[in-house]
Amino acid sequence: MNVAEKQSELKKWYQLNFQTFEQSLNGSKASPLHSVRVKAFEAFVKNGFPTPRTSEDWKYTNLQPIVKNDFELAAFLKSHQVSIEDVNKLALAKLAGDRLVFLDGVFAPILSEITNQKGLSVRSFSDLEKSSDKQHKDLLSEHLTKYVNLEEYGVAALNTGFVNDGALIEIEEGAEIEKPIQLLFISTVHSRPTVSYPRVLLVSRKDSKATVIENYKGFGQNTYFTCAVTEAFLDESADIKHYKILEEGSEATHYGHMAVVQSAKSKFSTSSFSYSGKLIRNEVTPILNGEEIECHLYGLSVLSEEQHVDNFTVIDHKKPNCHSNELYKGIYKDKSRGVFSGTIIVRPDAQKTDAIQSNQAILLSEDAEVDARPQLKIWADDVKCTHGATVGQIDQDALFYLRARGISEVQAKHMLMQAFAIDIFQEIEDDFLRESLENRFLELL
Amino acid sequence: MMLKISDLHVEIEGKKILKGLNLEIKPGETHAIMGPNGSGKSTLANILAGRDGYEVTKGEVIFEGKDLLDMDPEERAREGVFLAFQYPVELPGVMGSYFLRNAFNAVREHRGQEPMKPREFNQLIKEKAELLQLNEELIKRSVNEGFSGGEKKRNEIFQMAILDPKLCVLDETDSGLDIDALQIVSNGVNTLKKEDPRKSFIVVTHYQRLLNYIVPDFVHVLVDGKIVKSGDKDLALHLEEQGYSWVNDNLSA
Repeated sequence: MNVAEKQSELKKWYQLNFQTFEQSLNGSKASPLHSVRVKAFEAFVKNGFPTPRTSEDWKYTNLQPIVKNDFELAAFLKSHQVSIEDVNKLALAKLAGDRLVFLDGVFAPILSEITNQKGLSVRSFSDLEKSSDKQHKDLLSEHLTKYVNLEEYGVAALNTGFVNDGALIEIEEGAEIEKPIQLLFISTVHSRPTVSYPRVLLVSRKDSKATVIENYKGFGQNTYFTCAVTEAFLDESADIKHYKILEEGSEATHYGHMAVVQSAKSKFSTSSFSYSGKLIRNEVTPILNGEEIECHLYGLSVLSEEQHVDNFTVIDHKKPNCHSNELYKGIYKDKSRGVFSGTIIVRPDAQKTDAIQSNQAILLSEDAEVDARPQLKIWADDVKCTHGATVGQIDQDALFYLRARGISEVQAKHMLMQAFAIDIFQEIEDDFLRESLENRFLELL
Repeated sequence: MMLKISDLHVEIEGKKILKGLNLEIKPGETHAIMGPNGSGKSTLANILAGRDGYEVTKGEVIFEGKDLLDMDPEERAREGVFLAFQYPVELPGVMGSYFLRNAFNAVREHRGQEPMKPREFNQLIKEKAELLQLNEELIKRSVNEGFSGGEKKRNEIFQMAILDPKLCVLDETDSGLDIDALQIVSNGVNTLKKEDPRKSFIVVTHYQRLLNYIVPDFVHVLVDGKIVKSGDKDLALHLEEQGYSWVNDNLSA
């Protein structure tokens, strides 16, 4: 079978799944989600899975593991039992605040905790559908798919074709949400390859402030595919801190797309921690649609064996006087591979743009590999854009200096790698979150 | 005997640097190693600390009855050999206090001592920082990052004071120091000598100037990988007046 045939076979498989899925949702065809799904799935069918040949954006990351597996919709299969103890282990349990737990993309109310913080609405799509909360139902149908570009991002369209459950977060005007909102997406163990489609919609109103954590966890060594999309809208002067923790199973593929639209004077930052998973693709595509916006993207990967992480970002500066800053760091062992593609677009109107991009890697093995693809597309003349990429090994002089003070070689290496990642961790305000992520990082070294 | 170097031959990438060096150091002695550029002074300092890239082709180095060359750098440090670097390395992101605590406890553990209580350790840091006139805030920041030349050298001696080694090797500690910094560094070294009269020092230097402050018991002149002349502190003065060519002339005479 050639690639084109395989592609079309694959589409057939997903088409079949799509039909079964739609039929299973008895009576919900009237739901506004139905038309969203149909439209999105058409977009996916039109474009199919991107390959290195069909898309420059997928030059270094091949979705073959997905293409060759017939993934079944995990939500259809009987879910593996997950106890509250399991959840407490997987979640950042000590983080007080709202916690929504999804098993294979399906909301699990008994495992979740909603604290009703003032100015915050956290609902699952499934919960909302059953309720009479017209206000949030309208919010969902008004905003869902408003921010993600389904024509451009085919895999995000696939997610949208299967959208059924997910997390809706609304932060009211002027509200400062003190405790982080944690979304825990657990992939449970199945005997067959499975797929799930987590979805998040975040709407932050004027002058609101909140921290949102997306935490993806896998249990075992089963093959699965997490296909996740997050959309975030920041109204004027909204301030959102977002974290994404990836500890997927050893045979898991994770595709995550984060579409962000920012309004004037808003502040957005996201940090992704790619700690485990066989193949990870993180797409972040903020659109800076107002003046005096701040946008920060951070990423840290620690990979071993044949793990592969692709951080893909497109920052679109549409208006003047905005600042964007990207810092991606990776430590690569064994035969692991890191890819960074960072595009900065500066539109003709976006004068006085200040954009910084940096991508740094430490290779701990001769077989590890890093590819960087920075792209600047600048149509304004009064802008400051810098990008830089460094790839190196552990600094031997630094290593000797530490050892000459009595510190063991192993510990010295850990100290240097910790130092390498320090600016990513320093961005985390919450002490518990920072320590948890840093400790996990040290364990992986 | 604390240190015994016998017939030491060392090469770097096939190039012979040390060509049969002999040196014996007893506890409490201070030895100055002087010599022109390229004579092998820094090689000697680095080989004692265990830096990579040197090949010992002949000879041995015995430290307190143990084969020093057989040990990893960290083992040597724990056994009590300390190298004050000619070019201290900047470690961005490695916080000074964290670094010192780890180093200090590694050395203590090796000596069979319990880790020191944080309060006691902070007191120790305070005391030694004062001795070297180092700002405590500077010590807490990334190690050596953005330090001036003088601050880096003082930081080396400060670390030496904290780790309390038996044998201190000072590699061109005077290079790049102004007279004030030189006095602070020397004063630090002399205080350590007074506190522990059994500490030994190898002071590697190109100039005699430092030896006005840190007075050696012995001065050795290293030329072309060998010690060609040894004497007391007056030898350093002769060298200062006559230059290294004087030694060469004397040898050939």
